[in-house]
Amino acid sequence: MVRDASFTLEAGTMTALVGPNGAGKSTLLKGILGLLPVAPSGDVRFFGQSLATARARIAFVPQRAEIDWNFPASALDVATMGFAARLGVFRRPGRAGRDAAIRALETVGLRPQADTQIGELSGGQQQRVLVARALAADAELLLLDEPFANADVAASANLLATLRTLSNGGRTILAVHHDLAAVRAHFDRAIVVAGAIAADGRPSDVLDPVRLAAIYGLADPATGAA
Amino acid sequence: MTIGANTILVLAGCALFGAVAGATGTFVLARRRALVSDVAGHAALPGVALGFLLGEATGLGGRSPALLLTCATITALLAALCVAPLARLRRLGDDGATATMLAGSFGLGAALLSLVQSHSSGTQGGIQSLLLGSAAAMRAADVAALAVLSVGVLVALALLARGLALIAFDEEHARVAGVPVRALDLALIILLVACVVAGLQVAGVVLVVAFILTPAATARLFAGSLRTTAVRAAVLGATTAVGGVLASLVLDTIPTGSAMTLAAALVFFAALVVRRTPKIARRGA
Amino acid sequence: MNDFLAVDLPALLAIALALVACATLGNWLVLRRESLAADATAHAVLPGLVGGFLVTGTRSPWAMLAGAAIAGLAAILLARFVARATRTGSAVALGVVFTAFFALGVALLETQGARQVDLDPDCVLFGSLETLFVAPPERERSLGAWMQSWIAALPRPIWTLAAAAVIAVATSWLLTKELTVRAFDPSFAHASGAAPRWTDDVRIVATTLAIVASFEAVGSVLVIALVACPALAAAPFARSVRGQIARSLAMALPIACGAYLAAAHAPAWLGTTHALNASGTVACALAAGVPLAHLAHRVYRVFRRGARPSPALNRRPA
Repeated sequence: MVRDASFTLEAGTMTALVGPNGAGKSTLLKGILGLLPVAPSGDVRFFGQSLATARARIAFVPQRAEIDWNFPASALDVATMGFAARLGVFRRPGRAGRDAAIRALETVGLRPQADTQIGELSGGQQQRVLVARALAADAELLLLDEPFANADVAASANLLATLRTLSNGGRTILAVHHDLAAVRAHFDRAIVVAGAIAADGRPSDVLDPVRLAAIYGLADPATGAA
Repeated sequence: MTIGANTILVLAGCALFGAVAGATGTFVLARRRALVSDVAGHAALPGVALGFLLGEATGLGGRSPALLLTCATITALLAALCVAPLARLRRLGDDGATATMLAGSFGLGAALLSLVQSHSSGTQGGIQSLLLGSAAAMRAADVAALAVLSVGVLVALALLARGLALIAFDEEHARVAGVPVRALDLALIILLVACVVAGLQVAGVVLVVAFILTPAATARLFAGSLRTTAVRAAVLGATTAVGGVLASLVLDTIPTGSAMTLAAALVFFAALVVRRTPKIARRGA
Repeated sequence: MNDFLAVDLPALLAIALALVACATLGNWLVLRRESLAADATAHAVLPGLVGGFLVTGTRSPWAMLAGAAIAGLAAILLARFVARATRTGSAVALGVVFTAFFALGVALLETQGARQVDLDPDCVLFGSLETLFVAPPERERSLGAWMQSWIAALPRPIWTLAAAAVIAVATSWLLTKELTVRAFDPSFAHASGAAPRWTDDVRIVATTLAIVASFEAVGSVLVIALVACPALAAAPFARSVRGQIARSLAMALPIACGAYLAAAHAPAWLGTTHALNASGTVACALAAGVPLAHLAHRVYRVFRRGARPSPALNRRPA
């Protein structure tokens, strides 16, 4: 559970939500998007508008574990779903959709797996398919829930580079992340969540050992040494 | 409305069954096996039909209750045991496996039953009572048998309660701690099937599930250990069963099985309204 | 031949239409892991059937169908509410709600002396395929005219089924994109506004209509088989949603029709006087098809592995 969370994101920035397990990072993300069974109290504005109005400009990348990977679909199919999110009800994705989906898959390095069933992909590849879907949706605001959870070093680097390019291009990124060293290195801002917002600011300021020790209960959270 | 000896018998029998079903149902819900009770109920049908046919074929007489019930128990148990392995098939899952077993066993039952019907006369009413129960027709022998079964099931549940509670609370931990998970699960399914078959006369194939699920679901709306919940469910089951019987006596045309089911459902919804934020029992027995 | 045209063909037509109506929409239920909603709905429509008669005082099939549809939808909504309110699985909620509805239906049936409604639980559960016959038309001049009179003489339930089938296919076809997105990942659909809620509501209504229309002719024993089993049998082979739907229909039609013909004629061929309930036999065959299809898929994969290495269907570590 999270109390009294309040923050404003600036366009073109990469923000990480960090904090101990169970501290409420995913809950906060889902609460923002209205994905919790009980609606949180408070005001959420996207680009100055309510969620319902601004939905078309938002894309959400859920945790890999929340998807049924037995669903009959190829990587290309899932990526195309992202593009289809922008269309009206009776419109087909068509050529443009396929191209957008292929581009998205290329960006995350899954072009060769386009026709592979998602159930046959590895965990890291599955995570990347979900990111590709968000990319194909061409959203201005991307919210990612533990996108690095199953990623190996190469995939992480690739994803970070992709997110960096997107934010440099003016898009806004908010990602739940557990790797504090990576956050320090690559993100513009870190919000530390531990039941409430414990800290908020530049990673180099916020993620200092003393403060984090108090939150995580460790001497040096980056290395985990007690 | 006269309360004769027969009525007392019916009341006693239904109350007994309600209690046993409620208690069993609590453990079934705790182990998330609600679907299996549905399958077992429907799968009793082909067993009964097979019993009829076997009886006719071997000259034992198609109406021998022992034969019918034995066959019903066997088919119900087989179907119930098939759900879990079937569910492991890729892209099938629990819901798909249950739907398949429901459709298949009920379809088989319907087909076999039609064989019976076309063969022997006078089974029309028998089919009806199978589907909807014939609680009002309970006699002393039926109640006695039900009593014996109830005692057996309740004793077994009491013995297994601790292990089942541990498993319901944390299956992995229990397994590591040496609790025989598979054996206990199997035992629970056997008890569940026994309950279902016993309930065929009381409630019929379709409604027996209500006796197992509804009072238990009601009891689970309130906080408490698994044991406490089971006792509450038993009391609720017995009470709503008695209430249903009395209601069907007063209102004369409501079939007993339906009345009991509706009574249990009413209590459930009342409890739901009363208890806006239910707490799910988390403590072990 | 006259027998076939008068009795079998209408029944086959009913089964085929019911299959198209139910299985098309049933694919979505299976994809969403909600196969049991169909069984629950089929049991829950009983009070609606009786209610339709009671409220309008007529035996109009439309009243009864409307009542059934309303009851079915009410049961689904109530079950959803219960599942959310108790935070237990949907299985328990369905079990509590649909047994209550069924009990209510039986109570209404008995108390209101609804013999007049011509509804007995037998028919409701086991179907009335045997009553769907067409009185063989008089000898007509041409085949065309004969066919016209045959079609005109089809019993009303078949027309209802045809309508339900059309609605089902139209819904599924027009809304494939939305239903797929919502079935695959409801949270993405909600967050990015990918597919509006009403598309699922339309699907639920269409599914209820299909179930209600079907169970009049084929009984609730067959309805759940029609809704869930074709999709479940097609699932192991499916590589896309469209493919699964097409395959489910292609696989189930011959099985269902074959089972019907076997049920209708095998006893005669075997020289017995028994009769075999057609709906139950078809249901059994469709259900048996599910594990058999999975088995066939395994065998197929073993053979393909001989040709070239096939990708493992379990997850590999990243």
